[in-house]
Amino acid sequence: MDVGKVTTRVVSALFGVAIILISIWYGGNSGLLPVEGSEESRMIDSLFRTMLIIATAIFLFVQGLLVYSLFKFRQKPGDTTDGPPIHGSIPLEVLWTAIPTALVLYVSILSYDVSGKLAVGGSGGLGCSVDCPLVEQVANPTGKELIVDVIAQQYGWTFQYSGYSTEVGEMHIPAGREVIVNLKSKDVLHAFWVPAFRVKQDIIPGRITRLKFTATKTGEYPLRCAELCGAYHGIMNSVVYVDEPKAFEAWVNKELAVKTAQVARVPAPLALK
Amino acid sequence: MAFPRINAVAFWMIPPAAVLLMSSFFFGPAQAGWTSYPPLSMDPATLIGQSLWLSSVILLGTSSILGAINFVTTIWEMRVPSMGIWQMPLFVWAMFATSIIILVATPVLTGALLLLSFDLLMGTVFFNPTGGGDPVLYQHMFWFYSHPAVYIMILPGMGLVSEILPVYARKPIFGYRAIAISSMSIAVLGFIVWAHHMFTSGTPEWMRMFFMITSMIIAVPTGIKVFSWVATVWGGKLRLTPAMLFAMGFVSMFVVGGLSGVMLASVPIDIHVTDTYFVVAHLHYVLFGGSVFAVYAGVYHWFPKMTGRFLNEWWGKVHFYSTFIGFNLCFLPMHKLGLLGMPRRVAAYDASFLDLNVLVSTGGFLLGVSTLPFLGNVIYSWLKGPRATGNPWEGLTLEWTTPSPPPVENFERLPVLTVGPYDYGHAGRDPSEIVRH
Repeated sequence: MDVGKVTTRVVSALFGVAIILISIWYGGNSGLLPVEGSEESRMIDSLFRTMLIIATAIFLFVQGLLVYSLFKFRQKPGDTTDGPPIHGSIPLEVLWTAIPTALVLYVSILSYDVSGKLAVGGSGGLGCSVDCPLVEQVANPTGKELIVDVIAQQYGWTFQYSGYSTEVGEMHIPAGREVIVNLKSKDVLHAFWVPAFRVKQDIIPGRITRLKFTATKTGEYPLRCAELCGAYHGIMNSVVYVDEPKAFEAWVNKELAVKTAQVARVPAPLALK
Repeated sequence: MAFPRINAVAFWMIPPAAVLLMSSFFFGPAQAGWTSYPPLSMDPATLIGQSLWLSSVILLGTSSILGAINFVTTIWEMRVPSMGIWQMPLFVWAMFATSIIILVATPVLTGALLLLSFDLLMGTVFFNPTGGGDPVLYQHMFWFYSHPAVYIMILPGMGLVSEILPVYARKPIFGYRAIAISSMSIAVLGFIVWAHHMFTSGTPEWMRMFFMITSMIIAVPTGIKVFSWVATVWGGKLRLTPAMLFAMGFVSMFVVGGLSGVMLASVPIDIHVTDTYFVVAHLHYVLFGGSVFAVYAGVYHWFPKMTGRFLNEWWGKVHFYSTFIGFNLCFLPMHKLGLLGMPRRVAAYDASFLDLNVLVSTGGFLLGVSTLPFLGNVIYSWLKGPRATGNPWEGLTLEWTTPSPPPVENFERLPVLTVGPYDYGHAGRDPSEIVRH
């Protein structure tokens, strides 16, 4: 083997290693994701980072070949002859069928795994609608889930907490406790989306859809409608307040209990059962 | 053409459909977006506008079906006798696959739109939840057409690029059969991926897993095409005309759309980014960076054939570079906007998204301005461009054996092929001798 070929191979190998290193670095430092505010967001972000590494590597590889070709294989002045008559290569074609197949299989398995962990339980999955299990039948009920009905209407949100009959205009949840939201629409399609929690579910009139999540950090997180619901869809926003458990109890006592008492109802215990 | 009259009917349905669509703006315009999901599309305030919109889309769908009947029959029955299916140019393969998709998918959309208009005008409740109807049923019928519809838009673009790259790389297309078969497998697989648009629509978990896996598999035939195009360019003698630049730009941009497409197929990621600007970015990388770049490449490539005159190459390059830069400036930041939390189809956005949106708007304006050198070039060159010969790019497909522009009867006698459509690089062959007459 002559020196030229060896050099070419060494340089190609170095480029390959560089692409892999850059992709791994970019996967972890892309800055593309908002704050991680829930347990779900950790799992989804880790999946996203894996896919971003693979995507970045493929991107750099293909663009690298194209840009290199643009300079290296440009027609020389005065050369009007054709290139080499290469019609294909079975080994190469098998390779670039097999590698993408293996990669999509790999990310499918990862995605399947994450999806399973996010599931509400029963046959409903991450969100559910037609066959939503009753909250009591949710897989592994701890009895400690906070259950909130979310009512969407052009162009605003109201919330009703399990055990309290009053509807309130603010959503407060405690950090570290699983929340199940029952989603209801009074008019058209809407979608419940908290970007920091990475969860989204359409709200369909005539059905109840459901979503679960566990917030991990206290703070204020935007809640946005994510399904076109009319001219003012863009301003159908609200805020989810994630409080320390004690602050949350205080809010419940102050807002929900008082308001419920005002409509002459005895407050039921907050926790399920 | 097998059915020239049917094709003419299909063509002349388009102007009245356009008039209907535009007139919708004057009668309480349809406001439910291009998906027209009920119940929003059943708002009585937009009844007339929405009905006009529906009738226009039904008319356009019928036009596509008629056109597709003509294409399928012509391609299957009327090739020159010396052209077997494995000698067909890849653009013809792509149009064949496209036409089959149109024939199978469009009637389902037409059905959905008819049922929606019954709900709207006659008080039926197919999709109306207040009467026990199911709005999600509409979504299934809508996407059964509208996902394959993106293949209807991209497959012809893939075909154009498969024609153009070999001509300017002066090399045979790499992996001809693999590309042809990929077009057909995309057409078939395209029918079992629609519910990936509905991962948050209350779709049961088993169905989400099924559609996730089928959608991921689409990446395989698509990847085969991309790698084949790169291998076609590799080692060639590239003539970097505007057509070639747009064709290579197509490959480059389409890859981005393909990669974000695989991310969108993954259920947990889709849950976060569906209905956000991430999707807007993805679809523009596929349908603008993809289809539109391919159409531009096609115009530069076949303009001399169609008009008998050359486009100006320098202005063509100005057009390419301004389009390429404007496009990426406009659509690349949208990936981040969507991931950070900006929903699509909004008229107002959170102030935290301002900086990226300024980039997007700047790119959008540049993209708009980039069409001016193109339009000017087309108008001027059509009138005063230098005259083109029959085969200015030394292509090997049949259209280049006719004069430019071709006469009404393309061939006086049926030509007999002597070389394949991509037999570049065989020394000693006179490129003018593609066919025997």
